[in-house]
Amino acid sequence: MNTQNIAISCRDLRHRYNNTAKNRTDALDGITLDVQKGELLAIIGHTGSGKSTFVQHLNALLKPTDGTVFVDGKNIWENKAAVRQARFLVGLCFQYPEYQLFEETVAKDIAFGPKNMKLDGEEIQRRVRFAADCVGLGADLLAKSPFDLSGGEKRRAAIAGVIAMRPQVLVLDEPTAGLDPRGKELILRMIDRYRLETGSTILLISHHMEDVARLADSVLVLHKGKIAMRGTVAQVFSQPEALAAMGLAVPNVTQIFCDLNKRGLPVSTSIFTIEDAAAELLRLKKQGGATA
Amino acid sequence: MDNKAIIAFQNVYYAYQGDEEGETIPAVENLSFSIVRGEFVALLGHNGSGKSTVAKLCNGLLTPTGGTVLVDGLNAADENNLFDVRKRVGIVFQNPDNQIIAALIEDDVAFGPENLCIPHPELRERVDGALKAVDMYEYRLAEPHKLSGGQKQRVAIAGILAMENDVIVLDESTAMLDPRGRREVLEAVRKLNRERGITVLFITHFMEEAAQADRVMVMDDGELALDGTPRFVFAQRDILRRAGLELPLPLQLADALRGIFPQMPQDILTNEDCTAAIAALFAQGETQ
Repeated sequence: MNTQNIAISCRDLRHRYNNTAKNRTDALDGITLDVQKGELLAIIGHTGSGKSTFVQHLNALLKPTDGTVFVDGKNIWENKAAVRQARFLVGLCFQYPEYQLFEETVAKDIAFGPKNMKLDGEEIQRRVRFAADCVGLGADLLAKSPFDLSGGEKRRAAIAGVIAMRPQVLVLDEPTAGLDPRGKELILRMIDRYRLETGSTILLISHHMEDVARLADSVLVLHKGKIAMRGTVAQVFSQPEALAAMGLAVPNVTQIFCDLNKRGLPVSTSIFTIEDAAAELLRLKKQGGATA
Repeated sequence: MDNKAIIAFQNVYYAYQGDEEGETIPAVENLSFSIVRGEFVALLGHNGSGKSTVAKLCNGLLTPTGGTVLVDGLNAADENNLFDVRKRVGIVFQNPDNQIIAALIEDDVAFGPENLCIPHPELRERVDGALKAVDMYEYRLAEPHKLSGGQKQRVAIAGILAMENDVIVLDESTAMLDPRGRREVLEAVRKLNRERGITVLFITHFMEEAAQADRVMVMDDGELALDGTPRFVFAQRDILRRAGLELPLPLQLADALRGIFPQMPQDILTNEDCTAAIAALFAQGETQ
């Protein structure tokens, strides 16, 4: 395998909370995984499956109990410099990142990361503008206090703070959680556009299978700290029973097509979006399956 | 009918204080509706549409700047009624981590009834009964931080049940949960509604959840934009779109398919509706 194309590589990664003999929890239990550069990998798994613990290992926020994490080919725990480097290479945006906004203005908040990187003033400003533009925050909002923004705007300002560090890998932990449909749609479009413009590797933790089907190339399913599945969207979502056993679901559209298939209609069950659905039924209609 | 209303909003206004002196920001404007005992009502609306204000007006956490909120006939703005109002209406908030205060689950559920000075044998019964009703009895001696979000929200619901409230208001209580947690909470309140006649006001951003209610209200800019059965409300596509909401997926799919199959029925609401309608399209084909 050509390691130059690999953004993140984990080898037998383990993390144990409460590491005493009597009461221990293996939050991560032997994760071995490569993420390609430019890949948009969705991470799914129900609460407690290890998703958040896993991504916190990627920029050295958590130290593995065992195993190794390589970012851009380097072991991130090799020395202090490597740890610091990992924090800049992998931008981690937590759940509800808006709780971490603190500066007087949105612009200053976005500038916090780049400042820590000891960049010069001009470059910092360039990055603030770039990041604000990525998330669709206009100049009028940059001068405001982050606390005067709406919920969705705060979320986007917080994401901009991570983007401004120009990480090679952007990790978003449930970026749309708790937003209303409008706020959610803006974030999804932002992710799509950011990826198109920067070619960055993106790891997206999500509970919304529709969003996963729409945005991701591939899916990682975690279950009890282990990798349960790793494959393309089609490979993973073609296993509704296995997903259900882990408390997960396929996209709603997929479910409808599985049900149709069970009813005896000769439709594919690899249908993940509304567009797929329309195309599949059109195909069936042309085959003369319907009078319409 | 009116005398059975457990919650009644009569021309209610509410405005928040703005930054500048004398400035006010209207959140709810001339809002009138009533909820009858035993109803399961979903309330939808984009952020800032006034949903949470409605929740807080329901039990006197906020008092209207105009109009009246009646809870079981009691004026919620009257401080003398506050105790009785809060004994009737309990709220479960969005963040499961902000609502549990005790170190053990059963202590947390007991907190409300203890404040009502319920004597001990009855207190025990109420706490156990409430935890059983939300399927959390086996966790009664657990520590809160070891529970999932859905479990914590069910504990919060148990806390309300233990006070024997008539109404549970859930203010986006499923927003921070994973799909399993959302299902658990929704099932728990549906069961309480069905089996105990508890009135539920369920505020959510998830259209699929709202589709399961008896009645759906949609707020837009502080006003009621729609009020009716899920089938009626979700058929009002233009109003929903204006209110910044999306349609439940089965409806989106049906709309998309209508371009290919003009005979696709309009009144699709659930996955089952959609499956049946598609199956029917092709079944006709076979018979001819």
